[in-house]
Amino acid sequence: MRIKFDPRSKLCTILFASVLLMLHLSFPLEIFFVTLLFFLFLLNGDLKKGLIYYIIFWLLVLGDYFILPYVQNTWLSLLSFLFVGNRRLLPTIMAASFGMSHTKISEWIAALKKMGLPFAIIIPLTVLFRFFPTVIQDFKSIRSAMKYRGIAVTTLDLLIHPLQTMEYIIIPILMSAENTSLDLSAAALVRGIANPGKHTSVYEIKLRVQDYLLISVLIFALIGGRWLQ
Amino acid sequence: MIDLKNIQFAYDEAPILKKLDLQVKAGECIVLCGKSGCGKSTLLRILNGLIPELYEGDLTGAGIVFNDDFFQKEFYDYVKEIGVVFQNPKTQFFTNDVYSELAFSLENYGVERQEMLERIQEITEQFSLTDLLEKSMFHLSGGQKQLVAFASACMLQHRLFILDEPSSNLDEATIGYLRAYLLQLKEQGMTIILSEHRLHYLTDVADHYFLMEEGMIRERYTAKEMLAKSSDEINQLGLRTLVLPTLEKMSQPDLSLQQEKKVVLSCEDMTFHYRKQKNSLVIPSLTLTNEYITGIVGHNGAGKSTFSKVISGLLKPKAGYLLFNQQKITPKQLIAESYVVMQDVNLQLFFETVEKEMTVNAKEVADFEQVVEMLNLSHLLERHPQTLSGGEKQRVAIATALLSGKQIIIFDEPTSGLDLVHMHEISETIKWLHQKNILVLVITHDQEFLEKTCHRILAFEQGEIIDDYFIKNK
Repeated sequence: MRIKFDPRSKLCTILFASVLLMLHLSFPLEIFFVTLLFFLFLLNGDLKKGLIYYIIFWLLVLGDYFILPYVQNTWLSLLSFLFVGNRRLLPTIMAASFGMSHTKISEWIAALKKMGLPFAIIIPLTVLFRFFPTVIQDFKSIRSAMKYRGIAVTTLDLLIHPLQTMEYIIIPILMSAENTSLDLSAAALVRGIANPGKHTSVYEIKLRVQDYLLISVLIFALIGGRWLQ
Repeated sequence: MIDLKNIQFAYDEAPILKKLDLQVKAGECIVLCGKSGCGKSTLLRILNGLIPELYEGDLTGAGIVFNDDFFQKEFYDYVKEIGVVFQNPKTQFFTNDVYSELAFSLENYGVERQEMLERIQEITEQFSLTDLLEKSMFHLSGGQKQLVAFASACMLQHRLFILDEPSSNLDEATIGYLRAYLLQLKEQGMTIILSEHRLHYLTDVADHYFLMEEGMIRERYTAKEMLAKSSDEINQLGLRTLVLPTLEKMSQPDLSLQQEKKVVLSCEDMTFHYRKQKNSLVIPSLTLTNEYITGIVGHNGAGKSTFSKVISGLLKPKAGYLLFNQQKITPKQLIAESYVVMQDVNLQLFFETVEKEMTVNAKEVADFEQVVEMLNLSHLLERHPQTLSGGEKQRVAIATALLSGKQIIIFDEPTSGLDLVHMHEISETIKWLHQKNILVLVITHDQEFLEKTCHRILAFEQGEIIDDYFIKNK
């Protein structure tokens, strides 16, 4: 059984992770938060992913612990720096990974609507999410076309001649981007995106018990963490 | 239902529609047919309101649609009454997964969630889309995308449906679904207006055929009048066949004497699969030669494109090997010998003039004059390739392939969205390539085109060749 979290509480988790990265919070709080994330992965049905992150975290902690006595050695101190740096980044990566899994882009959009973000921000965001995969597909086709023409056959060529690469890729990409954007606008307009009346959402965006719990735990952790320091 | 008079339209100077009148009764199905550039698409854009809402131009005329003055309409109220399906499956969905795509128009008009869920349920059953419901739009085949687009156009209770060449990227099986959907709408009493080049699937759907020419409706035929015409008469009107040809199998014809130089490509025990997937291509043994123009057929997603990428050296086979003129060849060497004319030919033209496009990396410069003449490019040499029409772009791409000395040329759906004249043109070009000893392969759904062009057919299904035969060429 998977427990589903609302996009908004996922967003809170990601924000909390960023705060943790910026403000230096205590090491116990870090352990607490990573453990919490591990359990969130569990509840979300991603045991394997959660376990991998969790093990990496403890390996980094242990690595640092064993190296710490020898920081006078330049190389080992560099290694220690890497361990600590990666450990500090890990919660943010975990939170983002937790946030993005099992939540469709359409649900994120619906949540943003619910949070009262203006349409002028939501529509460009929607288009962006839709536009990127199309441009990536086009990019792949252009790469194949270049290979058939004998232009920059290997990826190395692409890197050695960046200007040439830009020239060859940009013209077709711009052409197709223009067509894509016109077609997408047409598809959205004929299905009423410009309707000034109220819009609804097919996704039920509602905070449930688990969301309230998660958000309050995060808030208490934040306040408690600051207070303890 | 629709009564429009004196419609005139121009994007810039040149008028596209000239004093066009259009009357359609409720519950009718009208097919707009005619050559490319006759104004069909423009007329549909006016009817779906995208002219002038999205595409700007000079529109005049008078009339009513749904009992309201058409020229005073509020765009977002008007489109609520119509369902629209476009031509290109790739760019006519707006969200990222099927479920939200179906909900999209309902969301925009503020339909309550409960009602939305019921309607999605109803439509998924009606269009048999249950298996696709949770999928990402980007993982669907072109045909599946088009069916979802059709279903999502039916979500709101519309009265009028407007479809712009909905079949042009579809295989015959998917066209069968499309036809069934159209019949369902008709039974429900909907009015349908569609433009189409491939007419064969519409014979029991259409009530009237409007033949357009140079921005006017030249003739109006009832379904009965249209069906009474002989295939020659249909061709004389510049239209494509009403009766889908069945490919006539025959024993291997002997064309070998025509070829001065043989090009042979064969593969042995070849397999290919994408990362983390099962084998998507399995070919125990196959020999392709330039004696025959070979057509490659199969459903959307049957492995035709993967096959073309492997035998042109773009993808490396996971097992087995390829032989080029009896010599083992690596993918890297093979790609130097082959060229694919892609469906979206825009993505393979890189330079600022046609002449430069043709001469960069050219090996066979001596052939320049001949190629230019044969492909009818002499008046286009100074133009920017991206400003040409679709057919012209195709010819430029073919010219670049010839001049860089390619011996294998593969066409990916060269006739999608082409009218009769342009289809004949590309067919002639392919035959000319065949005479020039090029090994030509054509991936296509278009049976009329196959029958006119190809000698040998390879049928694909789930990554395997399930049939390999020769057909009578007409």
